[in-house]
Amino acid sequence: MTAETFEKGTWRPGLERLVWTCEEQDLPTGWELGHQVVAVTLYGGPHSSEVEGALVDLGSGLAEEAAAFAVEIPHVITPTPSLPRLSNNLAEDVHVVAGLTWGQIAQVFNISERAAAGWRTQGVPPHRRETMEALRAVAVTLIGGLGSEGVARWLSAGNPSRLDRIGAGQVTEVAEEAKSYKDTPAT
Amino acid sequence: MALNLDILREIPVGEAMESVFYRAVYIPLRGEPDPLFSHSPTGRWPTAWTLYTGTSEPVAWAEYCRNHAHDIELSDVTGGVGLTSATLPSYAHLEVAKALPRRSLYELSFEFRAMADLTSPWAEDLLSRAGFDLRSFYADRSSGYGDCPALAALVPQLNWEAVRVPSAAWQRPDGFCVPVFARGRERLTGAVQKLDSASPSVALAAATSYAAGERPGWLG
Repeated sequence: MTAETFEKGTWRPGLERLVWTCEEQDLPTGWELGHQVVAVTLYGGPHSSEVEGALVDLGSGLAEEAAAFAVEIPHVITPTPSLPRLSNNLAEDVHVVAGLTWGQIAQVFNISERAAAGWRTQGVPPHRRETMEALRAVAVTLIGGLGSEGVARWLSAGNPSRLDRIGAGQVTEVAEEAKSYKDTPAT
Repeated sequence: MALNLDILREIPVGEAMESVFYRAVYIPLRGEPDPLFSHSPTGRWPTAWTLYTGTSEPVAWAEYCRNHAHDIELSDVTGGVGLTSATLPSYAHLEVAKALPRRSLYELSFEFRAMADLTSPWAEDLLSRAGFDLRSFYADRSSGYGDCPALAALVPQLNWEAVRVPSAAWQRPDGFCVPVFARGRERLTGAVQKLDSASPSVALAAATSYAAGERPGWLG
């Protein structure tokens, strides 16, 4: 082995004693003693296993900086939000538990705010009940972790928002998203 | 390609070295959180009952964040400015909770008699020989989690109570996922609620590894 064996700038005298290449047939490898190589470990990072090569997202430099903080501060303790009681009045429940204004409820059905607010006393029309019941179910599912204000944010944030999607007929999909919070699977 | 069951049976199982695992648990409207609730079959290791836990608290929160990246996107605490190295120290300790429900944190103690550590070089070698692509540990939901569900389907035949696997959400050497299967449920020796109501910190959300294309933009 000579300096020419190495990439330019990576060789120094004495390095040939530390590095063995397959071209050096005359040096003992252990094979002649009956030894076989069954595993090779390359040290170059926190993992040494074959899985290392499979990592697809180690995150940005910022993620690594954040990890140092995260180990110290993984969570923030938050008070349990005050939870309203269900009233058995569907319109009132959607208004109070989901934290939605009458204007937001009206927007889902493309009706006037006054008409939506009137459901509190007149009852929800039969052809609107299914969607309103789904809204209440979503709110009940999430309120323990979000509180009413948080449920309203969960429903109204984004573009399109989940309220927009419910208005467009994606009631089941949004309800499934809420239900997915009941478990914490590894994904 | 079907996995080779005979080779998989050679993977050593033993009593768990780590018996305390962490889990972020849903908070219901009324009553206590149920740390053993499993909406199976879901996730990377779907069986009739799979309880996903982590070997450290950051893993438990990171899995939660990865699972709900969209709601973390909606929980921007920087007001649209985005997180940078310069602002990270100021935001790191804040909660990510605007649109992400708070959780209870539980410590679950198990005394497993048949936990397979799939992170050992020996196990990895056997997995590969059995036809399991090791990249599956990090495969996204969009790709069906690679070979993980196929391996999970063989769990009843392998008599595994739990497995120790890399966490796709916390790709660091200090944390792993431990999905517990139906046979492992009876090995539960304790469940302690460590936190009544908490949220992942901004630092934790920023340190999490998300599925391709799902990392919330404001996290940098």
